[in-house]
Amino acid sequence: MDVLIRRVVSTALVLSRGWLLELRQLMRSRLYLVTAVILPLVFASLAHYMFAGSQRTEGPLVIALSAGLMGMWSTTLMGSGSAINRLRFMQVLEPLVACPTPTFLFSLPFALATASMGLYSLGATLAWSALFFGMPLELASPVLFVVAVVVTVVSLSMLGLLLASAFILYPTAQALANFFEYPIWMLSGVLVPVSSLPSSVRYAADLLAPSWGVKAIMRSATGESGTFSAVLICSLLSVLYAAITLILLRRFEWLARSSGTLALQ
Amino acid sequence: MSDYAIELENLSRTFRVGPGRTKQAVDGLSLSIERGEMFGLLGPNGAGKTSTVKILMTVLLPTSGHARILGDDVVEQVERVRRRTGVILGGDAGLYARLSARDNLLLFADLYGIPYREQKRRIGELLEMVGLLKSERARVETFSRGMKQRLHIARGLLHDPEVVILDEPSNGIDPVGARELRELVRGTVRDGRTVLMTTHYMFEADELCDRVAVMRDGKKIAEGTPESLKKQTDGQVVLSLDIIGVGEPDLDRLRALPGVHSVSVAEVDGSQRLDLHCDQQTDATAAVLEELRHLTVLRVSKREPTLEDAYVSLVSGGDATWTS
Amino acid sequence: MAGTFQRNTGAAVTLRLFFMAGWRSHMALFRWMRPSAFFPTVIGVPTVQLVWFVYLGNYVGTHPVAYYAVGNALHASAIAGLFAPAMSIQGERFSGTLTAVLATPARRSVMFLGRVVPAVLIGFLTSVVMFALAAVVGDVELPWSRLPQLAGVILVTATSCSAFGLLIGAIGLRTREAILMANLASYFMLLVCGINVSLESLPDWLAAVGRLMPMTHGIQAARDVLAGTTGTGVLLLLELLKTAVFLGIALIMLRCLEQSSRRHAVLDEM
Repeated sequence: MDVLIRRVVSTALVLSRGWLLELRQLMRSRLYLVTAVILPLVFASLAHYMFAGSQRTEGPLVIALSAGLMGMWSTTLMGSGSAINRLRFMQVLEPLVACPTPTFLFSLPFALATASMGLYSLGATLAWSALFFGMPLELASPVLFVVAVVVTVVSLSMLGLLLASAFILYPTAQALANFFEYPIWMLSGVLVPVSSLPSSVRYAADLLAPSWGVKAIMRSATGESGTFSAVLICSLLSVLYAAITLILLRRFEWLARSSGTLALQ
Repeated sequence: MSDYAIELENLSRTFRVGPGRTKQAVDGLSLSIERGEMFGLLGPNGAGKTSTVKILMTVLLPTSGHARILGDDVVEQVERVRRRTGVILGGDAGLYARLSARDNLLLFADLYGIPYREQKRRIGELLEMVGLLKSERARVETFSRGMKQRLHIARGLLHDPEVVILDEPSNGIDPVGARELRELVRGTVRDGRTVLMTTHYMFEADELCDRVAVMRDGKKIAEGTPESLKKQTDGQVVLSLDIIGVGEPDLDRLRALPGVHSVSVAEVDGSQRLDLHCDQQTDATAAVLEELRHLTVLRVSKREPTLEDAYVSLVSGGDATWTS
Repeated sequence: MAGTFQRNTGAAVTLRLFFMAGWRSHMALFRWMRPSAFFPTVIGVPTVQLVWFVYLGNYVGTHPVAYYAVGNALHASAIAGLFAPAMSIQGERFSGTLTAVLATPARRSVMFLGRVVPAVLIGFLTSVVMFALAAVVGDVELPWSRLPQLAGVILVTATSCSAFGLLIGAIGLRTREAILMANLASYFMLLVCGINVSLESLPDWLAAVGRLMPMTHGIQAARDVLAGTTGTGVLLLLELLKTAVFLGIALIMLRCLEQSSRRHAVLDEM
């Protein structure tokens, strides 16, 4: 029992320390901070101005939330990609893989840190929208909304981690990270409802945890029913992602070691 | 036209190392290097060698003083200096890892303005000379350290410069590779070039250089031929002991012994190697062993001082230094 | 005997410095040049971007679908245009070659301008491919007779964008944030350059900023060419004028940064 507690505590320590360190590294770049502030504004403006002359009935809240989710997703993707790349560049990926902590454990904090930046990005977009685009700050069920946001952030970071585990093997990580941005927006139904996608693509969207997160957030904000089920499916999918990541990381670590892509930039 | 290939006159360079704090990297350095001479700049890490080299290769400005290459001021006549100076950097960095050896050379050939017709012949010659002809199409990221260093040499000689500056060329190279490298370096002087090299391997300087200067804390503390430097330790012998468990109080007692000039310690395979510079006349061996009788002495030997000993006694200022 | 290659300043040498050295640095330092990254990034990202905005534009319905298709097809050149020059200058710091490069006597203006050429070329080709895609998914009609004019517009737009990329790269010589800046610039251009939102529907000050950014006039010109309206010449001249200004500022900045780097010894800091 004691052993178990000690392991849990030490794992929690590794995670929180890694999360803090990673956040600090992200914050150290002044321009990253500027980007983090301005990018949500750009997304929010893009969404609001694009809908400005439209016949569509989406309210400013839905538009702002969508833009926020776009930003959240971008930050998560870019964050996981660049974290692995940075480690590789500083030639610390090798010693990290060589240390006894499982690869999963040291990659998790990066995903969590970038997802926290993503959370911030959502907040910033909502704030900008309230400030400049007359978005009402009224949520139908605030508690559910918070729950939905937290679950979505976790699901995003899990998906980011799933991709990041591929990045360990694939050195040009950010290239792929940028590539996935738009398709994920599309599949998770931000700005344009998933129902306007062709039906075959819609099934793919159902496999994406963030798209359920988006549903949960939207529903809790507008007061539609079905928030709970969306939250549930989102969490289940996140757990599934974590499991796949765990398997992938083991496999990738082995492959990377045999192909020697850990040290190359 | 100046008679000297390289001339430093009271050269200084200060760095800001924090708010309100500065570090004097080069401090009033003066040197005159003749044409065709092979000159070695020695000194421990942080002595100011690399700053000096950077000033000469026109990527760093001096805070005060002057530096001239073939009579051209490195601050005023940058263009002329760059055309006539070749730079060979040490270490892994400084090459385009994703390009092949040949492409690296072609790129720099264009940067040095070498006409297209000359490029092919010149690059072929150089690749042959540094022994990379077989791997000329391989990406540099697949090269070993020694191969990279040889490519550095080829790149530095591309435009057939009259003056060549080498910054620690054999740093991190295995002994065999380093010997080949020294052969290459020797070859560059044969064509009438002037070479300035920095190194902290004394035997390398001893083997290659006509003259050397030793730097410490940005200042020149000695200059002359390797022989004349060695003469500084004339009339001395080096008493060398392998010993276990020697401490600072022991060293202080040894230093106080009559006839002992300096004491230095290095860790060697779990034991310590004590080098004592002693007067030849007063044989201090017995006195030394008496002071160390409470310790296990594994081996005692006496030898003539080398350039390394002269260097160590210079840069350690007569005091003991710990190295490993 | 040493010293035989010292007096070569002919036109051929300068041309080689401009084209060959520019191309080699590009191959060495544009990280996305390898096929495994080139296709997902330089071709893949503009493709998914164009599909997304056509899909979104179709849903929103403010403009005809072709409006979004044309804008994003031209913006496709920004991937190479903004990132390649930025990476090629910043990459020198990372690979430790900057010191060696700056110790050469090569004319800085020729050397750095040469790095824009590959970016223009790749940007141009990307946009051409994206126009083909736009014809398939974005209702864009490409009559044969207007293709030469359109090609001219694409070339000017790609050049202007790459000039802006060099400006970002110039900042990259001192900071390590050039890539981040290129990213930010790329998203910002989606908003203010008349790609997805017409300048008229932006607030006046934002539209004014948009007119100072690269591409804005080129995109307008492309829409005019495809619609068969005249007067695109003026738009292209304005775009070229902006190009010259970007290049000028970039070169002045590079010169100043090089000098201050020499003074303050910041070349090797990462």
